[in-house]
This record gives sequence, structure tokens and C-alpha cells, in this order.
Amino acid sequence: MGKLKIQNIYKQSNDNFLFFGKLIVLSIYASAAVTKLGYTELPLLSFFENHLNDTVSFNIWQFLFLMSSIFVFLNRKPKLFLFINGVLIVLALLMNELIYSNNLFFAGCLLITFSISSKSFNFVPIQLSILYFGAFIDKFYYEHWRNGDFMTTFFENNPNQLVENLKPFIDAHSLIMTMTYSTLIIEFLLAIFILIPKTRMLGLILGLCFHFSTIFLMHSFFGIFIATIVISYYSIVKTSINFNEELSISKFINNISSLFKSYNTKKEIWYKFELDNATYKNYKAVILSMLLNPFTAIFLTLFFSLELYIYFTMAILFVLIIILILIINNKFRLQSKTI
Amino acid sequence: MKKALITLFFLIQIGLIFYQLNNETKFFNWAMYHTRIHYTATVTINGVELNDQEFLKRYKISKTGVEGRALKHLTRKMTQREIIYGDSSKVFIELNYIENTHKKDTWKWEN
Repeated sequence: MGKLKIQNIYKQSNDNFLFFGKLIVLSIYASAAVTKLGYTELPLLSFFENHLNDTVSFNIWQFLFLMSSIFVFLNRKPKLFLFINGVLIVLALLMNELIYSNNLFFAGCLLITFSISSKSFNFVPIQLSILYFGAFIDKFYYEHWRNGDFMTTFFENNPNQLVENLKPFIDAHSLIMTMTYSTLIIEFLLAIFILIPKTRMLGLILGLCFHFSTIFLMHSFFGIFIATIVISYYSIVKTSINFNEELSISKFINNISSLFKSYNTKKEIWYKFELDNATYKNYKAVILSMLLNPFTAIFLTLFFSLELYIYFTMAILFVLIIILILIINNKFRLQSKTI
Repeated sequence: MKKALITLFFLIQIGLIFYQLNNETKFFNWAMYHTRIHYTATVTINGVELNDQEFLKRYKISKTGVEGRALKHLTRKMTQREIIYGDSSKVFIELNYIENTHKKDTWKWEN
């Protein structure tokens, strides 16, 4: 009988930051963002002006990032090399303002945050809180955001069917101001909710709903931002699963083959999924083992990073919201349900 | 020491949020850019106007387009290139743009 044993995902926390760091590195490569990094074409820091040939700096940077990534994936001083990768990304942004993007800056900061986080302290909520606070305070301070200028221009240039459909029921100005101020309020709440452990899960749901609605209304992938946001949210959910240990292709293949073998036996219980004292069986066990599998996280990271289908991206975000709501409402009773 | 460095890492980010609040470019302060600029740029080098390809090659941006960040980003891409890599050529840049819902405006620069 196929069997996967995993511990409770609530009570304990494991140091999975290395695994999530690997996902960020994977995302940077998969999105091809890495190909733009390392040039010193238009440096933000004058130090890089005329000090290095553009091609030379590109090759050096690419070599260092690649080597550092290899060490991370080979688990050789991985936290140190995650840190180096993060610093290299921030450095690449300082080397060339033409490629500056908040998405890449966030990816770099997240790599540094993962490298300094441990079982004893998770710094990711602080990093996320700073991100949302920065976004909130800037919008709050900026007059052209508060008076709805940005939203008005955006929807004039990028008409959205939902917004158009709502226009007969609510006047355009009220609609724009609702979206403008709801964004402000949500970003402020996110900065607070994610910082407080008791409201953190609620913050994650609010955050996923917020990012889902921005993708839907603005019809944009937002680069690797969504991938990095989902990874950072995942790293906040406490789990005793050691994703890095589970990250074994042979283990994965063995699990799949044993699942198929046991399924073909037509027994009443053909697959079990254990989580501390709780055991799930058959299809529920398969779904849970898929959800809590590091390869699912890798697949989702690649999917988000490649920016293939915006409606699938929205559908996956929607599923993640449902899963979080089920978890927060204890519908996934991972502890008490036994056979 | 480690604690101090970690604290510094987050304090720098918070500091940049407030430091860049009045700065249009908003580098490293987590601000989503709130402006959309529809622009057309005209550049003459020693009195000769650059065509679309020459403009793209020189500044790595289109001669006509939309800038989704801020006017300063657009102007910096041109002026910084001239400041860093410029020679004795006489450069004149004129940028006609509309920022968000505002009326048309023009920005000029010469070395």
C-alpha cells in the first residue's frame, strides 16, 4: 500500500527557508529575468561608471550568480550562498537602472531574508510587512493616487469588462474612488495582519484575494512578483515537513510508482497519508500528499514564472485562497481525522 | 553583530521608504509606480534628428511609447546616457508627454 508519512503542519515549524530560497532562484532563471542582470550600462552607483566593460561585468556577474546557485542546490553552505545570490541581485540593480524593477528587488531581499531566517525566527513577515507598508505609505502620500488619477488613466487605456459592466449601477468616479481607497486600506491592513501571528493567516487570505483582484482587474502577470509573493506566503505557513529532505527525485518516483501499484490492487484502502496521529486514505490522501509535496511547489513556481496563461494563474490563485480558507476554518482537520 | 546587521537590513528598507517618498524615481522603496506617461521624444545630435532605430539604439527605449513608472525614469534614461557616455556632440532632447489624465506638457534638455 502506498504510504506517505508527514507530520502535523500546524504545531511545529521547520527550517524550510532553504527550499523556498531555491524556489526563488528557480523563478529568476525560469522567468529569464537573469538574462538582463549583470550589465553596467546605466549604473545607479557612480562607482560602476567606466570601471568595468559592460560584457566583462555581465560575464562576471552571471558566473558568480550561477556558481552561487549551484552551491545552493547542492546544499553546500546553502544559506551563505542564498545570501550571496540576494546581494548579487541587489547589486545588479545598482549596476544598471535600465533593468530596475521592484519585483527583482523583492526577490533579492527575499533571498537575503530566507538566508537569515531560521527555525527560531522567521523574518519573512517583517519583510512582507515592510513591502506592504511601503506600497501603502507611498500611495497615501501621493496626491495623484488619492484623487483617483492613476486608476482613471489606467482603465481609460486598459478597459476592463467587469468595470464596464458595473458602470450602469455605480458612477465611474465612485467606482474609481472605491478601488483607489480599498487598495490603500487593504495594503495597510496587510502590513499589520502579516506582522501579528494571530492575524497572519487572515492576512495571507486577504493578500491572495488582493493579488488575485489586481491580476484580474489590471490583466497583468506582474512579472515574477506573484511567484515570489506566493513563495513568501508559503514560507509563513508553519509546517514540520522538511521540504528540502522531501526534495528527492528518486523518492518522488518511488511514491508515484507505489501509488499506481497499490491503486491497481483494488484494495479498499490503496493509499495512506499520515500526519502525526492523523491518517488519511485514498483520494483525500493523494490530494493532501500532492498539496504538501515540494514538487508541486516547484511546478507552481515554474508555472507562475513562465507567465503562460493568465486565466490559469488566476485559477491557481483562487484554489490557493480556497485551501487557505479551508485550513483556517479547520476543514482540513489534519490532526483529529483518523481511520 | 548578526542581530545588528539584520536590524540594519530592515531599517535601511524602512529608511528608503521615507527617503524616496518625495523622489520621483522611487528606487528601492516598494512603491508601485502611479503614473502612465504617453510620450514622443525628439533628439538631435549636432542638429541632425535621430530616427526611430537610432533612438532605440542610443537610449534602449522607443521614440514613442508609454512609460509606466515616472517621468523622471524616462528623462534619466536619456540624460544619464549623455552625461556618462557623452562626447563633444551637441545634444538636444525634447519630450512631449501626457502624464496620467493631465494635459500635454513638454520637457527639454541640452548639454
